[in-house]
Amino acid sequence: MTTISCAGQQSLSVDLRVFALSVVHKAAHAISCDADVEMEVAREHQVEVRLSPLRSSPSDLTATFRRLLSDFAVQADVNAETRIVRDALVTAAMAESLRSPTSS
Amino acid sequence: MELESALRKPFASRETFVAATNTSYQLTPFRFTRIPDTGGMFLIVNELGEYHFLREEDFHSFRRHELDTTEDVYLDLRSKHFLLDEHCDTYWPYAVSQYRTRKSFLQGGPALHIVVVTLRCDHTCRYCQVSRQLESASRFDLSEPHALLVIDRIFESPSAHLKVEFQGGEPFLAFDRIRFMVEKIEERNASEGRTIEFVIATTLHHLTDERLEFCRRHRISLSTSLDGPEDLHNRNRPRRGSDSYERTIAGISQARAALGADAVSALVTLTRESLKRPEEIVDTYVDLGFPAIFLRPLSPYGFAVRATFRIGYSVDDFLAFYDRALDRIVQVNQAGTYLEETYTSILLQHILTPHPTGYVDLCSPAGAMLGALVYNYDGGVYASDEGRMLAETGDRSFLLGSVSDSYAGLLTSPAARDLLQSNVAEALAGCSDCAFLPYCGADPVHHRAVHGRQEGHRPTSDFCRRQTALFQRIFRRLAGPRDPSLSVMMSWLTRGREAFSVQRT
Repeated sequence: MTTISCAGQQSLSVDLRVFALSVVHKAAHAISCDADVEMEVAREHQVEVRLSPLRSSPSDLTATFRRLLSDFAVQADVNAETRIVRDALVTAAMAESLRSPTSS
Repeated sequence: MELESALRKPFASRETFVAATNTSYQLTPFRFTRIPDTGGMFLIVNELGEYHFLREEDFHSFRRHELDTTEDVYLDLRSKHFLLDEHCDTYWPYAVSQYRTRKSFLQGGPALHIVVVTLRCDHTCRYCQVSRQLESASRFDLSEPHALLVIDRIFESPSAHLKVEFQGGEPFLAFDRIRFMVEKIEERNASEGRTIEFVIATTLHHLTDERLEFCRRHRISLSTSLDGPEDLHNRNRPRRGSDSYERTIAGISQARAALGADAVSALVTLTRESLKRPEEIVDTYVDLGFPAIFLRPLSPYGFAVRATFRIGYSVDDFLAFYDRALDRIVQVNQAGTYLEETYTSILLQHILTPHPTGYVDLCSPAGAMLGALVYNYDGGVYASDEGRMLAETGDRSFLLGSVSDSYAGLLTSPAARDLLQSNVAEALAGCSDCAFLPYCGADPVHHRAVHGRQEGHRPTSDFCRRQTALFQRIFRRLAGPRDPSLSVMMSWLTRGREAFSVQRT
């Protein structure tokens, strides 16, 4: 991941072999309260993310974006690892509810 | 030979650098966040709503399966169902039961039925979301044929418990219609056998002994608006004579004398002016002997939107007010007077128990339509009271149909289908990975009003910012050393409480 700053706009390149594109999308969505986000596929396995601050005194947007990437990547790993448990749990809970008479 | 072999392999194998993974435990679904001002602690929350705080290194060890099974943190996480090992035989029956309980508000169908018996009102409140009509304009009353159809719809709801709330305008201006409906509902319930609760949301300005006697006989409770000290209340709720506060106080006394102290509850609506006076607002509720105060921000619906530039405020301003008001409430409790802040209480109940409160804004799927239905004076049926308010300015997204449509027809209408596609927080961008999701809701009506679409945009949502900030405040208290204010708040949970179904008056 490399970072470049120019005239308020900050940009970074993300290696898609490290972070899935869905994770980059989630990070872009999450930071959209603080920045306009442009994404462009720079070359194979690489996406260029440009962040333009929405407020006059921008925080370190790239640092925030990197943190978001890491967090969403961890969450994606957890979700993938636990999907079977979650699906089984929700299915069992709802199926039992369908069988039981209304009570609330 | 061995040396030769080693020299041919200048790099150690990959396994040398990968920590041994503890495959003896399996993770269960969880989400995580960092809570500010807790020294970098990670909060993890599982699908059952159980939570735990972890230091960063423990968090990463946990998720990488590197925890030593004899460590305290391992045992804590196992006891809170964040991981499964060979000692977790009871996980599935427990987890299924907990999850089903959290979603049990879905089982019975809409329990809250709000009936707008009239739009007539003698107030001109600055934040009013509906188009109030003159006291004499009886064409804005619910007709008798429509009232009978409303009763049919109410009893088509499968819920064993029904709460019928009469709203306005000022519902006592159409008291004959209330009387008619209450009597018909009770007559019909003789064969239906439901548990029925009646509430009238009123200014309390039109009470008479006869009306109160009717309320007493039919166990009707009253909910009123009280915005704080006299000048603030009168400024927010103007009427001819500028005596709204005085008349409300007189109505509270009169109603309590006839129905008992617990039969009258009050709601505060916060304008920009209110935010300067948190302590005075709290003290007004204490002085009048109310056991609860609900600090709710202004609603961006209906005609209230037009007044936003005069009376609205930012999330940060609301939170600053909230902190001061909550401090005062805690002081009041510590001095020996019970006063509950209802919103904090709802959030705590969502965090600390699996039992849903039924508070429609904090349900997933959202409580609009699934937990409540609103019958307007003109026969329109809406998914929520806020949806009705939105319709006052031309947005009929939440109009499910008419009282002459069947319950099944209403709940499968195009508007209902649209709503169902946007009311599951687990499926919304920005919510699906949020640690607070098990305690929060989708609130599609709010997001339709503010963002123009029911899914909303969480990163810029004031609802989301406010909720996140409030959850962070509570978890900061839960993470730290025993906070005396937390004991006060916990006492709100242990005191007997009824389902929350707070509506606007």
